Amino acid sequence: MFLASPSGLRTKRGAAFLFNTTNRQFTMADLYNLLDQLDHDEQEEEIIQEEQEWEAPVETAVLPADLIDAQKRQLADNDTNEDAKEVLEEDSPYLRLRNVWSQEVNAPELLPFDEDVFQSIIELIEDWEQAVDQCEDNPVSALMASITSVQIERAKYVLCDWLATRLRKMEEYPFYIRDYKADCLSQTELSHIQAYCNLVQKHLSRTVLDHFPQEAWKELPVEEPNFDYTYVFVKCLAPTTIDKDPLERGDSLIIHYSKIRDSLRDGDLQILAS
Amino acid sequence: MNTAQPSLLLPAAGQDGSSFRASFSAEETHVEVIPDFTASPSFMAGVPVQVPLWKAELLQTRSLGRIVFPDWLSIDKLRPILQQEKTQPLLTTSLPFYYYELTRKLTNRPRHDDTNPDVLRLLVEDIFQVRVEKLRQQFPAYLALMEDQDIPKVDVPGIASAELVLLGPFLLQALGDRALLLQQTKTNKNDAAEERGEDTVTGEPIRPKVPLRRFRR
Repeated sequence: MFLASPSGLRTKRGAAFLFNTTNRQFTMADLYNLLDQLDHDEQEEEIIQEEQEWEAPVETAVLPADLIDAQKRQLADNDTNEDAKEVLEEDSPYLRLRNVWSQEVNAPELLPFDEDVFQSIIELIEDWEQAVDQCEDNPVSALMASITSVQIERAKYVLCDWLATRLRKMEEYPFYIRDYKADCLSQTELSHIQAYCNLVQKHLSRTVLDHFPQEAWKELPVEEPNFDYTYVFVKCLAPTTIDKDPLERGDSLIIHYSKIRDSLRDGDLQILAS
Repeated sequence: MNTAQPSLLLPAAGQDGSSFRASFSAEETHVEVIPDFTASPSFMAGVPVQVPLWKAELLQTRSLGRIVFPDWLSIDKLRPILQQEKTQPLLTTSLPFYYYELTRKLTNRPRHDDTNPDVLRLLVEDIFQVRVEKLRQQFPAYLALMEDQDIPKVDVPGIASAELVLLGPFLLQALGDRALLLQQTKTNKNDAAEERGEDTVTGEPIRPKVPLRRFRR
């Protein structure tokens, strides 16, 4: 938008100003400083050339990883390929963490520590936290960042609950676990249980055992967990037999724990968890 | 004093039978949500998309979308299921595992379309009560099972999360205690028999001498 003043049209520079407007970015003509503007033409042209090299940034929202999963899932839905959908769903470390967590919470004894799940979920949480930190200023990114932070909180809750359940089970029978089930623990858990056992041993010795008159009584009896009277709810994942009773996939039942210990380890059954 | 292993490890239940862990796990089920905004690639305004329930609730509270009720959550589907539950002895398997928690979460807010959240909620409550009552009626059958086999297994097809939270801990504890008592009567009888020089006898099952009292909430 420009107003041609009679003086502007007549000067050569003014004509250039009029006809060279196609490549410019238009600014509102400053009527009072029109002469100044005409004088500043050349400077503006240089600036404009620099500005033309600058491209507007393409707006990309920072996407949390599972939105990409959701997109993949949608594509899989469109293909109506159930196997692909199942494979996609099982790949997420968060899903594996939830499975391990629900098993651990509902199992009567300490289950083996899954190092892969632990490492992968730590990495995933770090990636998510980085994505939240790097989010840009626009409202769409802010929304995605808040969704991701809710996801981070949920994953952290599951992780902490899982580790806390393991800790509680460990401290129920510390001596038995330290001596016989050390392979079910992670490194940090192992060092913790050794320190814990030492503390308990020292405490009991100082308060009780050292004061016993007879030598034979001074040993600390080791309590073993007893699963004779423990029942669990289980769900059948793969056809299997228990005591010559065939089970189909999808059966749910209540059963004595000793019967299904091996099947649980093999993965045929799964503890039914709410 | 030897008691059966207490089930400390089962999910803690609240007063009305709810459980935080159950609600947490229920929030991971996928529901359809229609967003009001566009954020490539998955959210396009007006296009329904499957997301976990916690994400859907987040969007709904910020008025960025609205949740579409799943197929099973409709009066046409739930009324026949209620009839089926009332007439048939086994639990139905056509409801998803977290049906109770999902219904509670989805029917909390008033909705401006055809769906009737209050009616749906009452229907689901009725279904839940009928299922729980059916399970409770099967308890004596479980006791009878224990007489035949040493270590019984009990089939509970179609049990869902809410019933598990409500009845699970009690049932497992009861079965454990029962096994313990059975074991002790057997050993007591065996001890007594050995003193008398007879062969050992298998334990007699403990029969209640009075009719079982029904527990109603």
